[in-house]
Amino acid sequence: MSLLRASGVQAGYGKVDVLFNGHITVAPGELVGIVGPNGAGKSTFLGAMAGSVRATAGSIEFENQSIVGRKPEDIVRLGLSLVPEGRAIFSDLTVQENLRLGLTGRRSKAGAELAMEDAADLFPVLTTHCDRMAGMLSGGQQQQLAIARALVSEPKLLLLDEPSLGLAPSVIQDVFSVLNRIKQTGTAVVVVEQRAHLVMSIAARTLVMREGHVRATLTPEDVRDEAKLAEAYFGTGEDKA
Amino acid sequence: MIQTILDALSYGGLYGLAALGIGLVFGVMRLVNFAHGELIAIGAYLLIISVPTLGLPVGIVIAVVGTAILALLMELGVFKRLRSAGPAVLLVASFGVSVFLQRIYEVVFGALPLSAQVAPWMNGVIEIAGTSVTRGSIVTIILALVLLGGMWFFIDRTTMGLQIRAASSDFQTARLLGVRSNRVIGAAFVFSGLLAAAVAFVAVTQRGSVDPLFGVNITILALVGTVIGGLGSLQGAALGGFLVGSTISLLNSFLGNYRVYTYTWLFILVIIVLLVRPGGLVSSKAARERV
Amino acid sequence: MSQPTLTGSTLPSSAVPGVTRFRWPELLGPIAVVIAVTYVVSALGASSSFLVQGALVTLVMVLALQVFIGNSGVLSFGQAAFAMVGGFASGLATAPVKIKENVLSDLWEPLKVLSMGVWPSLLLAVIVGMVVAFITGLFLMRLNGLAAGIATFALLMVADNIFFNWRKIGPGPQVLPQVPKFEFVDEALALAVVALIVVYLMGVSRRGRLLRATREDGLAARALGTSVWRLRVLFFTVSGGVAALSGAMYSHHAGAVSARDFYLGFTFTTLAMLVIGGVGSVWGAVVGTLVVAAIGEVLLRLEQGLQIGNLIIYVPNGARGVVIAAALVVMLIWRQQGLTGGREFALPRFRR
Repeated sequence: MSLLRASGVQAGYGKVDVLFNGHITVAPGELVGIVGPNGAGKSTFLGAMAGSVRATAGSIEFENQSIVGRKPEDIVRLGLSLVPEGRAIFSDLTVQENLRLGLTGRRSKAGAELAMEDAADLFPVLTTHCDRMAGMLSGGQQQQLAIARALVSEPKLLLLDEPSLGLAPSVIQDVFSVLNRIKQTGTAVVVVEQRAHLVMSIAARTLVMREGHVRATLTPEDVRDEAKLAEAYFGTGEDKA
Repeated sequence: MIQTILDALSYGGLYGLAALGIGLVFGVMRLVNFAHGELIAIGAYLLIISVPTLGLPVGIVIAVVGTAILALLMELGVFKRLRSAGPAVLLVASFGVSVFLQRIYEVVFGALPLSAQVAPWMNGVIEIAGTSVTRGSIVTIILALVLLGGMWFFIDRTTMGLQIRAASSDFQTARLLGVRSNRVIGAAFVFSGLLAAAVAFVAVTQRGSVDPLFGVNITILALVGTVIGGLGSLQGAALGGFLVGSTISLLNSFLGNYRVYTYTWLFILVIIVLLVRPGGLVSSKAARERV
Repeated sequence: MSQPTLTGSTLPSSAVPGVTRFRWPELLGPIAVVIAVTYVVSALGASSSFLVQGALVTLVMVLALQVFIGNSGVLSFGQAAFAMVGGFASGLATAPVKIKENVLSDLWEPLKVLSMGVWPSLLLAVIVGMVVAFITGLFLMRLNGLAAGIATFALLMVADNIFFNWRKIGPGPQVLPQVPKFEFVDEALALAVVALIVVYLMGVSRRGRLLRATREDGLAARALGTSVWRLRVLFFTVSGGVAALSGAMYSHHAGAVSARDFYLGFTFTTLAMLVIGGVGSVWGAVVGTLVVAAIGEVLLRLEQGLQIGNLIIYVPNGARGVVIAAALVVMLIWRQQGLTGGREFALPRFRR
């Protein structure tokens, strides 16, 4: 039984399509990675899943229900939560207020307190700063806030768009160890990254996308296979972009 | 002298309320609602028509409910269908809705002003510290404080207020978290309608009459306030409106002759603000990316 | 959400509607239609002739809006200010000196004695309009989208406030009377055709196409920076000149001019005409003007009571304004590109 199943997804912005054939399957509790160069359509793919980008073709099913064309605020209530690229926290609101907003997408109001406590446990730094303006936090702290905010709605599937963007290496380590812990609680995770090595070692599978198509699927063993990586990333006979 | 200060404060409060009404809707929708003036007008019309026969309390209820309903109709009938449109299209649309309503009022109520004494006691005087001051200015100041305070409480302390703030800051992300876009926008419109009704009450008790163009001038000036105070900031809108209103009142009291060019200076200021500091006087990071 | 790069992909031509290159039918079509309508309606009588003249004046204004808004994609509420400038310039230059001395005693001396023929005064109006538009454009064209809309609205407010009050440069709150009128409808028609040609050529020009490209892609516009600003200033200036021409024509159509002739009502009507017809093309401007003017006239008759046989059909006073405003809003919701879809005039193609 797959939690998320997408195939033939086409999407873009305005009149220009960027994603031409997106497909993916995610089972409950799985961590799947999507990597690829800039412009590959990775963010667009996540956006199509979460409902912030409208898919012009293809099918996306969450728990066997089609979610194409549904509003983002409805999709999150089904259990699919997206942490957008660049963190997208509300800079003019406090940390606490940002987290409270995350509760809006919960399927049931019961258990909200517990969810907030769990988030506090995963990210103790947030409790220390809970009344600070979110815009004042460091990049790494903002990333943690963004993830915590998505977690308090207790999603079944968490989508992350380039969580490592703009973060120092040590901070990236922290973020990805948190992702691992999240996976261990049974939440499925899809992580989009430009840098493959970050994701490949913890992901059950890593999809490589280029120019709107999924070009290859890599497994953890392929991490050491440089040639296979290069080919998937850059394609045979093509210059580095 | 005291009257002059009270006048300035009451005009400031009045325009603060008007500007906040515009700012609320702008925050969640990037819509500068020219038709806000017509919300004020319908409030005034309902007061003028219902108070003489049904009394003030009932009249106020009718005006408040009527204005809120019209605000919702605007959203559901027109602006909801323009969700994906850019701010410029929304601007033209609101212009269109504004003129449309003005013409409807002309057809329904006639082009000539309708008069009635809604609350004559507002124009009476009371004694404070040995001087006579108009009740109207005191009531307006109190009303403005209560409403602005109430709105502040709502926006800052309630869940719906939090959602509105989030939607104003980043609409897309708010939706990703589950904030229901239509509900938030609808709430913003309803509240802007309530504020419009309050402005209508004050304005119509002063003027004693209403006509189809009743709301136009107030809206233009309130718009100036919203822009100066900062598009996208609710406190900025209220503050900007307050500044515009009180400044105009003081200019009227002191300058007499030269007040004819007040609009010129105000709108040149608007242009300068837009060129130099689009976020307005109360700038915030979110506001800067907006315009 | 970051915008993916579009390396290797080009915008399909259907993404940029409207004029792409010079095609004779696109220019001659609207001209022919305008000429035909003018003469057919004028033949109905003197009052119809007057109406058509008024429509031609409005058409020039709508064209002024089209050349700027249609090509730059930037909203402007301010063109009425340039019409005001043009109307005053031409009106003051042609009104009898005696009238100016008696009625407008506060007028600046050189303006009082200024006297020229109607046609030179039109040229004067256009030049003045372009200068004012150029100067204001230098500042305003730095703005985009909503800010531009509000700033140009502010410009209109400033112009109205100044012209309504400053008796040194104009009649102030009064009406400037006794402006020489056009004798026949041909004069207005000729000017309208000239305006059509100018606006169309601006649209098909290389600069026009460049400007329209920035309309579609805001990021590209920002990346191009000063070039966009220069283009916008150019088109804003031309737009100001055409608007001034419209204002000047108005003064010779009505025989009088005042500041409030070019205020919110005028701005609304001309903008509605452009949107309803189609912002993207000259044909849209023509269609919009004709359709809205026609509907307006029909409704005006109905307001006064139209007699068909034994029946008198009435609509309430003011219904005309309601219908036009409703048409504008409906068009924005249903079909933002207007009746013409932003496309230029095209001859019907015959297929076997």
